[in-house]
Amino acid sequence: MALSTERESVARTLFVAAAVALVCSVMVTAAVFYLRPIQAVYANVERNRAVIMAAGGTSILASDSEVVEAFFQLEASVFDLATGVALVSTNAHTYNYWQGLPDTEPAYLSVFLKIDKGKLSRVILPIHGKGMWSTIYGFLALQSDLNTIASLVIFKHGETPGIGDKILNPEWLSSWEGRQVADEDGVIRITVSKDSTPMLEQYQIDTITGATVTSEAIGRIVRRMLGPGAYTEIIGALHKDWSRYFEIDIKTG
Amino acid sequence: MNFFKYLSDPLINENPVMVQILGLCSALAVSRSMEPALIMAMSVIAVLVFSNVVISLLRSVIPRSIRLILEVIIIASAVIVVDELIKTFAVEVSEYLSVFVGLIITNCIILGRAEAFALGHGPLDSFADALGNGLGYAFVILIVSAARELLGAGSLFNVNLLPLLEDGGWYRPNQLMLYAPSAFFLIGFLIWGVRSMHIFQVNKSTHRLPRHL
Amino acid sequence: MSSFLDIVLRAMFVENLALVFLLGMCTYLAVSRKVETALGLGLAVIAVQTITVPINNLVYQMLLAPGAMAWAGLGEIDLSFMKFVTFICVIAASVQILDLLLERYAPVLHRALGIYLPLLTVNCAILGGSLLMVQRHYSFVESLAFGLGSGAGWALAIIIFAALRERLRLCDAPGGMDGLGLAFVVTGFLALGFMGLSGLVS
Repeated sequence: MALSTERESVARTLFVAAAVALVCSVMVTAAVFYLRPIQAVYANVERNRAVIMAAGGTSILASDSEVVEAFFQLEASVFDLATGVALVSTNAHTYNYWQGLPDTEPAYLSVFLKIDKGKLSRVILPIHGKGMWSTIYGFLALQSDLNTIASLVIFKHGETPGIGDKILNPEWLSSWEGRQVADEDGVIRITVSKDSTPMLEQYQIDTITGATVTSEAIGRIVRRMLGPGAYTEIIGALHKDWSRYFEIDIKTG
Repeated sequence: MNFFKYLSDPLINENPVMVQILGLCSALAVSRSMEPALIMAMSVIAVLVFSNVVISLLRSVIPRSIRLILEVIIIASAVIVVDELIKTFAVEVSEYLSVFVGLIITNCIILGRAEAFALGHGPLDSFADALGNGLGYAFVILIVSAARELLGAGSLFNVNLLPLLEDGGWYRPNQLMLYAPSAFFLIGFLIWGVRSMHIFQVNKSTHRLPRHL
Repeated sequence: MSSFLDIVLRAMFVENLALVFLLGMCTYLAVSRKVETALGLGLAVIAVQTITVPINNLVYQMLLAPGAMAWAGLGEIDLSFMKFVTFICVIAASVQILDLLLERYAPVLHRALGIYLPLLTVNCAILGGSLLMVQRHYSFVESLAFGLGSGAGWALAIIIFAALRERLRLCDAPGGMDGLGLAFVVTGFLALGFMGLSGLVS
């Protein structure tokens, strides 16, 4: 009985609570302190893996070192979205273009180029925007005409498992390939929609049955990212003379 | 002697999921395929063993008035460490498991074993009890996920075993297995099987007539 | 306002915490033998969920999220890993305070709900609601809608299930299936039915 009253005394209760809290917090802080940097490295590798896949270079099963090697073979430049000017002094390969999302829209984005024997083969653009629930991140690759879609890769999303995550379906993603972004007048036409209009087939991707909202959201994201305020200026500039913006990389690489 | 009894009882006879009805949420929700199920099972075993042993060591020190909150804090800290480890070394699985790693905190097996066992037994016995219950949980979640992945996608651990129709094979995947209701059916049938083998386990209160006599 | 209603309906029917996310199953199976008790528990879940999700939303946005402490000049700090411990403490405290307030000011309601409240601290539907709220970056108002809708959805599921279970007691199931096994299979059919509601809000 004496033992149990002693155990219940206020001072002792406070002491035990404080001791447990202290030990637990040290354990948790140590784990986070040691693991966060490793997580950041792995997260970078995974993001670059998605870039490589959009570039059509490799499969999802490539090893981490293969990913890193292929990634640094791409040309890269950071662009100011407002002006379409390249920031030559920033290292675009390591620049964290999605920093601050989903709260603040980025002002600068990296653009990656795949060069084949001195010729432009693909342009890879990071894209992001709101899905049904979450912010969806991905990469859109355009062919050298800067109007034909070469591939679409979804990097990260938080949509409903089993419903919204149908946007990861390889068949649906490959249905984007070969579609046109804009018509001859430069009007952006690409859409994801339920019904197909025969004349505009080359601009249309079908919605996913059972994931209508999320798949239409992807369509909106692509339209918004290619539109004014995002990549329009940059695509125009690259269209005129892409090598100008990537000069430095080509000389050193 | 007791050690092995504490270890083996929860595997089938006192199985936490099928008999004690504890820890169902994650057993149902992350059992769509085997890889995340295995990682989930390992996480639960790790947290369960850690919390049971620590709480057993502290059992004579913990004041009764703040017993529950201290247990929850110990469990939650272990879960944070496990969550960070999964985020580091199994990124894709961590996205699939999403909120369910965090929900190990409220997995009733863990608090249930701490309250029912660790507070009254020594650390070695608590270790055996935790390991046994963890393995019992792993047993159920792995069986259910094996059935769901094999029937739903024709594969185990992402390795294709039944050649799929779309790849020129003969197996048409059962889409139902990819959705939540299939987990209920499978665990229901599993309970049926286990209880038919050990008919004495049938819940006494619902057992009105001794019809097997 | 329409998006408020949208989130409520979606959380209640399309993404039902009990039948689609499979959260709170232990209590769901243990406290569903009678419609009356299920109703009491359901109301308690609605109350606690509607209170804790918005509170946790504020705590997360003010203290835990990466860069959330900018108001205190500590913009670099990312305490998001502390969300598990913090949320569970907020939930435990809210449950305790609600319990005391009900006892003091609404003794009749307290008699009806009182015994279920302590159960909810360790109900994963409650913690799960807060964690999903973080994952989806809800604003404060959205989190209020989500708390209300997801709580109501969970309550709806357990009340329907309890009503079914009252009938099931009269049926003659095979020995091993009687009781728990049958409860699982019935929940499976209920979940199958809720899948049909997935096109409700789009």
